[in-house]
Amino acid sequence: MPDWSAEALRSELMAEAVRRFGAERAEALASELQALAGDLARVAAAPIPDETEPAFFLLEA
Amino acid sequence: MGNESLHGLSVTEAAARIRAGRLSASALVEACLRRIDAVDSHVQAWVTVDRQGALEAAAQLDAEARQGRLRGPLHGVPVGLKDIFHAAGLKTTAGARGFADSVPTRDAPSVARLRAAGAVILGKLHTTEFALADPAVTRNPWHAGRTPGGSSAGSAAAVAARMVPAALGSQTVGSVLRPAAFCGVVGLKPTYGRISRRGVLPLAWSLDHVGVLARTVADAALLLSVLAGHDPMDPGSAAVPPSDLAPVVAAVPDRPPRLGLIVMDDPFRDRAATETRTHLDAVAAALAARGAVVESVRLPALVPALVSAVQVILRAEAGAYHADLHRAHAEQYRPRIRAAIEAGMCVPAPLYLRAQRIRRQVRREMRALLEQYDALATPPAPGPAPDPSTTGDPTFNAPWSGLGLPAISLPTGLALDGLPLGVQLVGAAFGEARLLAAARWVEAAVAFTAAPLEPKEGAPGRAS
Repeated sequence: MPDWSAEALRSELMAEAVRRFGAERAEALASELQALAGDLARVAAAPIPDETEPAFFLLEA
Repeated sequence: MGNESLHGLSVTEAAARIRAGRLSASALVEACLRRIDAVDSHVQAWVTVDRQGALEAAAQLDAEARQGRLRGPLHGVPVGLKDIFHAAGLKTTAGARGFADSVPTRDAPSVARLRAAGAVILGKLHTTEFALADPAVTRNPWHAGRTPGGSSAGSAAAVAARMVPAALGSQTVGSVLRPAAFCGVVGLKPTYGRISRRGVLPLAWSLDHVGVLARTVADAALLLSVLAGHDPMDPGSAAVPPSDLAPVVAAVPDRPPRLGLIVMDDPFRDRAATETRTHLDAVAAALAARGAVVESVRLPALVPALVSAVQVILRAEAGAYHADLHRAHAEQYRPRIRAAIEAGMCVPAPLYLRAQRIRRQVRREMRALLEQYDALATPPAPGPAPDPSTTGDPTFNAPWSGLGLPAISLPTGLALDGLPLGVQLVGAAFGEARLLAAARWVEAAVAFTAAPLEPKEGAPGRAS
């Protein structure tokens, strides 16, 4: 089970940003990544029934 | 009515006069062009004014009208386009300062539907860069020191300033309803899949909606009746029969609506200004006094997670769409869109998918609630338009974009600082006829008539 706390996600996002864009750019993204980590943590914590599929397109009435 | 006030006609008024032979398309287009000449140096809503193309189209439409041929319900009516819509021969800039311009050879299907219905495309309107959050140059016609909102900034401001009777916008989170609220006009985002998104630059595929900005609910309904329809080449287009909007366009419904007034729980609780809450309560009381059923309702507990899910999906899909352009032009993006794209590239796939599952789950949980009411009511924004360093907070619009539900914002009063306040009404999926009937009843009951002050040299509206 991965650690999907906001702090763990912030660290994960920062590591990925360093890998993709370099340390300097990742540092410039710090506040954006922190906000995103908060959103990701709320998403991770939301209880969803197992049978619920993703809603790429919401076309049903 | 003299030419000088033709620019203030609504879509339905203008179309009716042209149908009756009491107004020419050319006179109406000329009046809008004069209005643009008079005020757009202050408002800065337009990227491109297609003066020659619009006048030629109007002359052709007038010739057809003289022969008794009317193309459709918008015959001769000028419409503006947010500058992410492709219109043949007009440059699409997406607010991107030259690194992503193109001149399309074909109209987007939505634009083609407008032309087929007789509309005259007047030009392209400013957007925030790639329809995200870096503010556009456009000023709020009510106050030069406030944002018009975004991303459909030029569309809302041009309609508010009476430069064009209606415009197309797009909404991924809150980009039609929020600028409509800040500029004191009507903003309509129909159900996801109602209007083709093809030929409109994407921000986030699964959230992008085409929307309409106008000055009355009837105008928005008329535009939607023209724009709605299945597009088999758009995978997000729904094969659902169009709503019958003719009754909404024709008259105010007799029956007062049933409205569910959404309780300001999380994520709205700490965002709505006291003045906003007080205004919504006053509007609700006035509507109830006129016969509307108004009951307090609570949203599902997952809605705060849904708002976060929308932000996750927006970033992940924008990061995916922009990957190639970003590789070549990273330094040329403005700061907020660049940060969102780069953050989106870092989103873990399992959590992107979980965000998409939240959308479907909340939509299921909302179905019964939406069936009980003609519309749910909330503020469209935390308060009146804030300062222009931001385009405002889209949280009040985000759930309905995430759920793909139809929503409309209409002006209902003025704040203490003289800027517009409004109400946002939300309906069931593909329930636009019911939603817009409720909105038209509310509009008539509230009878909001204020307009921005005439822009003065160097200072539109109440500039300080």
